[in-house]
Amino acid sequence: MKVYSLLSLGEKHKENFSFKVLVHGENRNLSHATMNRPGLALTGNFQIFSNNRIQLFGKGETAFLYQEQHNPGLLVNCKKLMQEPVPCWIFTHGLFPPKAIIDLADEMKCPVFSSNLSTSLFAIRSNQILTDEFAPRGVVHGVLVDIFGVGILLTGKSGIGKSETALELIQRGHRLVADDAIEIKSIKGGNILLGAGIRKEVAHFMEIRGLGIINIPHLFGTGAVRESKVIQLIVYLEEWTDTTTFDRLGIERHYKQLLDVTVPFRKIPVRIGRNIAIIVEVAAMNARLDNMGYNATRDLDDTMKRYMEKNK
Amino acid sequence: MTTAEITVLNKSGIHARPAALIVQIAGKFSSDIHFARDEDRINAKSILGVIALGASHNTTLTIEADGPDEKEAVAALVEIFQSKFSS
Repeated sequence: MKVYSLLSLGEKHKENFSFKVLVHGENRNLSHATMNRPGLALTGNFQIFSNNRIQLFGKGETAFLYQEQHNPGLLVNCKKLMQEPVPCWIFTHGLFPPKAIIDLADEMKCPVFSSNLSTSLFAIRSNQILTDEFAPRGVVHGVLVDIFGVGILLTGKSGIGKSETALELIQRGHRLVADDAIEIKSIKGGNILLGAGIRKEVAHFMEIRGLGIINIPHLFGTGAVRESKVIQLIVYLEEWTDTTTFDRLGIERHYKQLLDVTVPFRKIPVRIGRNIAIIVEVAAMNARLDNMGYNATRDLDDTMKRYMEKNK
Repeated sequence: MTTAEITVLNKSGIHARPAALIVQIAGKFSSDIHFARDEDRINAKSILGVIALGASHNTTLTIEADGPDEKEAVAALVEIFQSKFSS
């Protein structure tokens, strides 16, 4: 399970949350992406209380806190609500709690924030951001390129020509996301696989055998690179031998699972004299046609069947 | 699979030259060889991958080799780390 330091996360996404720090407190950790509305806990009901979640105070909860003078048990419940592992309290609508609560939070070292967003907007945004932060991640070996807007991960054995293929694609006007070590993340609840370089300092360098290390944006301009891209097709470059059989029609669809995300997969045989870059480029365009519902093999097949029917 | 824990002993960490030496040695073996650091697993035969590890002085890495010559591969890599890449 991943754990984040709350302050580092808050700092990173400050703009999205339009945060104000009311009580700095201690630096607590966050281990869950979801949040809790503490209404029941405020009334003293701590059964099945999600104490490891962010505690979100909307208009209702805040109004309830202002009854603190008429409700002697409230401060006791609040104190319990501020104990670790509660990560923090967040008020929405730019609201802030009564002074007694601020003092209590100071004493308990519980971080308290206020956001100008409405409760629902805050919940939606933080949910999106936090699920992406907590998304499963991994590292794969390959080159990630953006070809006509299609994110293609080139894979294959070391020395098969992944980087050389990518270089030719860049030369043809496409974009490099990262070479070699690609960090993958399954975002948006596990439907989308996002790829980027594992370290952005290294992502836009490439190693070309015989040349050494080259810098892509310096050679081709900043338009030749991008930081991250959704992986929409995995291409596996495989050495062409006499015994291997390849899909000749291209009707069958193959998929590969990466971090439980299903991604279309295609094997491309490599042989001297085959221009792999052009084949990969066409694979990208074909993937787009496929998404639009067109399949050349099926089209040809239907046309020929009609022709044969007519000439019977 | 053969694994070994190693520490980066040279002061300047794994910069370009040590990385080149590492991939050159790893490339001599047919086994799959990886370096693991926290959650990341990097192919030891890829120079940019090894540089991207950003392994500075005193960083601990795990070598993982899998294949017919895995023992020899791990031994050879441990040796160059211990010699602080001076060969």
